[in-house]
Order: sequence, then C-alpha cells, then structure tokens
Amino acid sequence: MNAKQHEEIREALGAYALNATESLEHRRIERHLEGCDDCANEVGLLKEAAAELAWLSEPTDTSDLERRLSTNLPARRRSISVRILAGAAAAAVVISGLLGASLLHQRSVNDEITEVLATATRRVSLDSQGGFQGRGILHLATGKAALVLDELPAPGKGQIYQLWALTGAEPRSITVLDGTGRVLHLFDWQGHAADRFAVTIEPDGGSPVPTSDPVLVGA
Amino acid sequence: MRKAPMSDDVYLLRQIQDGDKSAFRELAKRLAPNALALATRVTANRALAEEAVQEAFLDVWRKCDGYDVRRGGLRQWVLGVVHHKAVDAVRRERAASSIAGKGPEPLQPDDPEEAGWMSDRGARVRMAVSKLPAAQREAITLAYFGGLTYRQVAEQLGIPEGTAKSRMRDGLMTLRGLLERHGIGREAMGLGWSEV
Repeated sequence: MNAKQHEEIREALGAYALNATESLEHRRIERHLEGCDDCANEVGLLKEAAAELAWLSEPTDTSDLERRLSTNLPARRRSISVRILAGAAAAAVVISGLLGASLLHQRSVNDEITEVLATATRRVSLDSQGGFQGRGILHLATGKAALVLDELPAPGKGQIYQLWALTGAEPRSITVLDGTGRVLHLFDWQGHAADRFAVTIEPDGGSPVPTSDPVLVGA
Repeated sequence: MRKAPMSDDVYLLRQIQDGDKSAFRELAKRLAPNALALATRVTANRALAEEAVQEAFLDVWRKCDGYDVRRGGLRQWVLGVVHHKAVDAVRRERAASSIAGKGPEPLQPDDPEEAGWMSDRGARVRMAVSKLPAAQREAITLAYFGGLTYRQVAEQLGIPEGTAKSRMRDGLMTLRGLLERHGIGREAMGLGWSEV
C-alpha cells in the first residue's frame, strides 16, 4: 500500500470508529489495520472515545430482555491458550503504541494486574473449606502473579491471610495479604513447582509454617 | 468522584470466559438497560433494537475468549458491539423500508449504586460532548446515533465527504481530551483497579 492510500485510510479512521463506513470500506480498513500499527493504535484511541457516547442514552426497562439474553446460550468451549496468545499479541501492540503516543499513564499496579490476568499461564480456582465464606482465583504469570479473592471476610484482629504453595505435603510461603470483600493482590512469582495452593489465617506478619487449617484450597 | 465498578467487570469477564452462565446473566442485568437505550436511539425502533441487543450479547458470549481486558473496558466493548449491530440493523431496515417506532420509557437500573454511576458518567460524557466544536459534534452524533455513513452525513450537511471524515476523526480526538478533563481517562474507560 502506498503513502496516498495509507493517508486515505487514516482520514477515514474516525468514521470507522463510529461505524460510519460502508461495509466494503469497513473491511478494507480492517485489512489495513492488521498490518499498520500506527493506524491500529489511533483507531484504538478513537474507539475508546466513541464508546463513551453510549452513556448519553438513558437506561431503559429491560427486565424481559435480560432473561432472553441469558437463556439458550450455545455451548462454548474454553480456549485459554487462544486467549493468552491473543492477549500477548494485543499487549505488544497496545503498550508499544500507547508509549509511542505518550498516552500511557505511569505504569501502575492496576496495569500490572491487568497484564498478569491477561498473560497468566496457569490459573487456579481456590475453593472454600470448612464453611469459610469466600472464593478466589490465582493467576500465575511469568515473574508476577495475582490473587483475586471475592467475598473475603476480615481475617480477625491481629491476623492476616497467607498463601502457600504445596509440593506434596511441603508448604512454601508465597505471600501475605489483608483485606475484606473483593481483594486484588499482586505479588512476585518465581515459578515454583506447586501441586496445590492453600490460604490460611496466620498471625499478623505471617508465619514460617501454617498454623491453622486452610480456608481456601485449589490445584 | 464516584468509583466506577470496573474491577467487578474484569472479574465478571474472567468468569464468563470460563463459561459461567450466571456471570453472563449478571452482565446482561448490568448492561442491558444501556445497551437497549443505545440500540433504540440508533434504530428508533424497539423491536429492531431488542434484536440488535440479542445479536450483540450472543456475539459477546461466543467471542469473549478472544477479548483482552487491556484493549479497554468490558462495558465499552459490549456497548461497541451493540452499536455495531444496531447500525447494521438500521441500515438493513432503511434499505428495505422506512422505520416507524416508539421509543421505550427510560428507567433507571434497580441497583442504586449502579444507577448513580451510570447517571454520573452520562453527565460527564454529556458535558464533554457539549464542549466539542459544533461542526464536529454534529457530524459525530449524526453518524453515531443516526446510524449514517460519512457519505450520508456529508450529503445531509451539504459538505464534502473528506470534510465529514475529518470532522469525525478530529472530533473524536478532541472528545478524548475533553473526556480526560472530565475524569474519564484511560483507567476510567475500563482498566481501573481501585481495591488493591
């Protein structure tokens, strides 16, 4: 594609982001975006702005529609590997593009958690034990991991939650955390071998070995 | 400023990607009011709008495995799919016949926190849009809510097609800056984790 064609497409990116191109041109732009990082980055920014326009419409009564939306859903196979690959590719484009445009805010914990969730190579559901209220998912990526806990009760005065990786019966302390309700905890992960994971309640500051039965367990 | 319930959305998306239908029901409950309002505004026809919303949610269910949270918020993605379906529907319908329909009665969602968040966000977006240069605002709203192509916008406004395109592109870039000034930046657009 020559520079003139590139510029023609670039001029139409606003219309494309608003779904205001005709179908033939829409497909032509989509083909161009697959091979042009500059335009792909720009269209990402334009689409973010366009998407906000949706909030200008007043919410509408949908009780009947809501039921129809979530019934008779077709079976869908999980394809985590596809998602991870797609995520990694998108990350490369989005992060490099946004940095180039000086639009990326300072890398924050939020960004890091989002990155870990998207690139996790192993995910472990943590189920409650012994009537404990709460559940969680552990996302393990390269160098970092994120623990997402939901409906977590307070651990008690002077106590804290501690995550353990277990190989056989041998526990290794991974991290400690505090909080109630929804807790999102980011920590370093060195890729230790682990058959299972467990969360226990320990004295504030953590314990070298578990001193109580696990409240959450997953493999 | 109110905290947007975004981290919930990311968690919800993960559950939906795992095939959790109850999480999808929750998504439908959260977003259907705005989705239907948007589709109705674009199509000006309740039945057509409901059809577009159903098609969009089915697409979301089928394609969510490939969605990457770093591309933007779950709500923005879902409403983007809804808009696309609504525009397709209205163009098909216009090609076949003229549209007549009555819009639904606006209604706030059941959850007061959710309703407050939506209302607050709507007010800030409205404020940002009102500050756009009039020519850009006109081109953008005709395209987005009218479901018109840039050629149709150009024809309606009596301006060259190139001018219509540049008003849309420049207008969206300007809007982006205005949204950020009104507290809707990249994080607020969908990647905020405020509970760590």
